[in-house]
Amino acid sequence: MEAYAKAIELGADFIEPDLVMTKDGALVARHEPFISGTTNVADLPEYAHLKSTKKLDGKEITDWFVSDFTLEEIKTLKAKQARSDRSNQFDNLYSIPTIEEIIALAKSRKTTSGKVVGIYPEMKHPYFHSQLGYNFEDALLEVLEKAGWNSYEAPVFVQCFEVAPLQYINTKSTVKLVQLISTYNVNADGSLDFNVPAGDFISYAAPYDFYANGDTRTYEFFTTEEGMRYTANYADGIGPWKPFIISFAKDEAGDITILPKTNFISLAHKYDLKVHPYTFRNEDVKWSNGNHESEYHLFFNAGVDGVFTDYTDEAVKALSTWK
Amino acid sequence: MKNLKLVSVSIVALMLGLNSCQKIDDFVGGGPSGEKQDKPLVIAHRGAQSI
Repeated sequence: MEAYAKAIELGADFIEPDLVMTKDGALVARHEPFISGTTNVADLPEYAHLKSTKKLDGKEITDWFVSDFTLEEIKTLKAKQARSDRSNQFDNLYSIPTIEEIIALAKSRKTTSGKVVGIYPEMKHPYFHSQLGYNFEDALLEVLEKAGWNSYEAPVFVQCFEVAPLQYINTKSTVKLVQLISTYNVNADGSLDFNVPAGDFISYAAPYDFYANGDTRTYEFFTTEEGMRYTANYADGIGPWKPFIISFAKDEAGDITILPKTNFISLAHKYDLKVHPYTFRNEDVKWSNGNHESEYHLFFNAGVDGVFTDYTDEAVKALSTWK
Repeated sequence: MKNLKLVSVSIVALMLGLNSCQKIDDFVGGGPSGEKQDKPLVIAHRGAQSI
């Protein structure tokens, strides 16, 4: 909660929680259903027995899963920094928030320009949750309905890497929807690699619900005219990893060359899809070479409609100097 | 365009007396209050410098 509050203070238009489900069906903010990397769960002997192995999007994971904890138990955990290249000064201080708490925070504040603070929840692995007997989509819609934010005009974008959950919500609600897409890797020449090695997460390069249902299309499909038309039938926007818009080549010495922008944005805009690429972060200097402002300007000039950033202050600063 | 939504939104827009597609478009991916978007949105990924 403190990180979302800080982001609002720094000038964010939207705060973005990734959501997973507890054993008793609560939606809480964690980046993944397994939590040893982002909480102190491994340090708590009372939860040792809950460590288990589950298959997530094609990959076996041995860890503690949120779906094995009640909300009350989840509330006894503390968050910790997942990245080794960031400070640990806030480790073990803060609890894991629910979506209801995040909405309450958003409603209690205004953006630095005096507007409503929006939320941009991501449904994490709905297929995985459905296999455990949960209906992620209905749970989220129920929360939005209670908040009075289950509408097209609400300050809400619901995002997902899977397709069917968004299509389902489109039949139940007018809330704005965003299709996320990803690629496994970027080849040396800057082309995108949609081949996932055996045993790794299928969802790095294809919607897992497609894969699980025998549909062999990868996220490459969504970059085509047909794919954009398909997406526009149920979504309002598309959220690509940055190389879909501006890729980079790498030579044998490891030097990076930023490539010209692709036709991704123009194609998306042709079908009235907003484009919100992810994720801008200071530690990744491929596009910026250390000048973060120039990276934001590069993508602003390419025509993006929004940016997912770990560093709200950098994005706000870059917007203020962008002409 | 997202067919189903546009139909429902169009009906709402007509009821509100909004008479142009431009007005409807103002809501699509617009600012948090539904106003016309004049700059890229800043979306705080997991909050600030995520924990």
